[in-house]
Amino acid sequence: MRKILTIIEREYLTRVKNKSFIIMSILGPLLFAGLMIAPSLIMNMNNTEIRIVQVVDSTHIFRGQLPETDYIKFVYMPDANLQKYKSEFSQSGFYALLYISHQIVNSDNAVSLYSDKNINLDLRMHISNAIEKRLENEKLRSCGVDPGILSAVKTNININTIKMTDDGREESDNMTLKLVLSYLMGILIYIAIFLSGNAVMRGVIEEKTNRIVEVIVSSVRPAQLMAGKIIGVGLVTLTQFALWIVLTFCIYSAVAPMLMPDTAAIGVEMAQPLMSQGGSQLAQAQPTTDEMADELKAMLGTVGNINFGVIILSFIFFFLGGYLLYGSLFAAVGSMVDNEADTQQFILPLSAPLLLSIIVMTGTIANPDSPMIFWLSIIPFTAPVSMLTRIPYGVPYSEIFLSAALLIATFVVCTWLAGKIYRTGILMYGKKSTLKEIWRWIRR
Amino acid sequence: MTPILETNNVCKQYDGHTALDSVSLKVPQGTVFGLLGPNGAGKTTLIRIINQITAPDSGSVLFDGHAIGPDDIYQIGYMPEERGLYKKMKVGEQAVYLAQLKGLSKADATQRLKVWFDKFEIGNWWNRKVEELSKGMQQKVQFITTVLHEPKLLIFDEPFSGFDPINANLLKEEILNLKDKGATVIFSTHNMASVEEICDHIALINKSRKILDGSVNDVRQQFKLNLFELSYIGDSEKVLTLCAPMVDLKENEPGAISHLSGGLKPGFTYNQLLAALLPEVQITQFNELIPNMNDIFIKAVNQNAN
Repeated sequence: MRKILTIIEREYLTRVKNKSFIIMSILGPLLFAGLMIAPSLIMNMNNTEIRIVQVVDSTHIFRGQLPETDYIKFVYMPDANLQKYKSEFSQSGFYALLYISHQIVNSDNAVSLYSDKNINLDLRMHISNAIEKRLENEKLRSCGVDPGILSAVKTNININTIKMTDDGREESDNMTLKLVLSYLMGILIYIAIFLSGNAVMRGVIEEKTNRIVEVIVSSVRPAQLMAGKIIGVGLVTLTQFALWIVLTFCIYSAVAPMLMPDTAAIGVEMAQPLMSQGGSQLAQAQPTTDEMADELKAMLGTVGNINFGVIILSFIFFFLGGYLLYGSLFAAVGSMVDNEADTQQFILPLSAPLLLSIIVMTGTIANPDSPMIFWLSIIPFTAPVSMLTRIPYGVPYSEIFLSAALLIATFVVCTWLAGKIYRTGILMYGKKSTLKEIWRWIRR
Repeated sequence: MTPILETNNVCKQYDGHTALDSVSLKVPQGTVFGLLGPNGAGKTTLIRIINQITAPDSGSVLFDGHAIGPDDIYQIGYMPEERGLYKKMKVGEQAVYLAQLKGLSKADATQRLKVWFDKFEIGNWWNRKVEELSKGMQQKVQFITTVLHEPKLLIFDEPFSGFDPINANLLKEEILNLKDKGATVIFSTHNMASVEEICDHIALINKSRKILDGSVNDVRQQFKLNLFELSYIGDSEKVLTLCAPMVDLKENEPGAISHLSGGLKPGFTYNQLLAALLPEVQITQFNELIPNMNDIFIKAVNQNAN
């Protein structure tokens, strides 16, 4: 036991002291914090510039009616001489020229926005919304609808999704948060298992090519060496993740208030980089600060209904289980070859289940209870990723326990097999091992 | 005295080919024991079995009189033929790590290492990475880590490969030094000159069987062909006549001092030969020709092949 500790200590310290570990520990959080801050920073940058729009309104119904914000102002021109204003535009210093023609009541294309700059999306959305609203009101009024009624019918809909649990309670649901958690955990555990499995494999190959392995197995049993290496690398991965989380949080909370004085935005920003996949976020009008605050409040209200205890415990369990399962198999692969180039033929079949569960992950979001995802979350080789993507949506304890028990059983069998391959493989030099030979090593 | 190491009928098969076939050895305490044999004879397999890296299919290994067990590895130091160090690790750290695996505490290992590093004049390399060291220096570090825990039994597989003559000599002296301090050394090599120089006992393994063993002197006596050289002053014709019944003559060079060489015929002794010659000539030199280990090695292996 003391020897395993000595091995773990070496595996851990040499990796943690390595330059690439230190660089990754610093670059990772900078990247994550950057990803979290950048989108809002870009939006804020546009917003901080006050843009004055010159309004040439030939209908006269919009004069003084377009709502202004802190950064968008309107100046209404006394007459409708579009040609004159257009020719003077470059000297006028306005950001844009808005022209509303007489045709507006009949035509969709009666409004034009001229500028010598690229007009950004949120300004266009703002103006279009404002004109639409004003025009609707005007049309209703012309039909004889009372302005009092107009303000009374103004409606704002926010759908609350509520999940009914088995014991009859009702929980308000937040699909966005679950989606974020599901994605995040699936990807995180995939990266963790794959990277640390690879690190184990490279460690085994290093010992083989350095020819130190025979010296070491004359002092310790091969199983002890393998166990020490797997545990040591696992601890390194956990350390790296802990550092990433803590440092990202530190950088974010130090930098975010400086760049984004609007504190209400923080909650939304945090979710944004993950939600705005494919740029769909851009297509929506930027919500006003009030709406953001409401959304945040709603989100925080449902946070209490997500069982974080179960999520954290499952994450730790399925990471450890998955890592030990794959780590021992990666160690066996490392022992079978003389150099990293030869590992390809073994790595592909080995990592296929992990890749499959990542590909299927998007399906989990569409339907967390589909039979395919159910089975993937039970089968031990895909369970670590697939089960974790399901867990934020709520999984019966019986299924979690079934999956966990199968994972433990498989891990025990695989470690035993891997140990047998490893024991023989590490002392084999200069020849590629065929599957037939490996089968003989296992039987021996 | 009980032998420090004893193997009884050790057998080992690999995938249908026999690596060791009923090998029995006794390694006496406090000696240097040469384990000889051509490539692929089974030496490395035997050494791995002694180090408990692999287990024998049948037969037993006794260490210091008892069946060898996991705790005995603390009493064994092993320098394999395929040897190396972690390239990216610092020399000192690495040596301490290897010593810890052999049961030394960190403090104890560090203290002992300082002494050895000074002795081998590599003290200022403590904080360097192994990859910065020359091959010879790496070998020195390797040697130190093998002997640091002061084991009762040391096993060196081709220890001199990779050493220049000066360092090889240093290593040889250290091995003899360790023997003087009471350690037993098993020494596997192809270098027969070094066997004659430092080995007390040898065992020769060929095609997975032991074909020869014993003390170096006994083995050489066993292989001698009763050849001798004789130098004398006197009448050459007379000497040849006197020798004829007892000697198969090879060569006779008459001169101021004549030289004669040949083989003694069976049934005669050197004393009888010398007694016959003494009254007639003045004998200046007499030498029995004993075969060297190189000849014995080749002869034994060839005989075994037939």
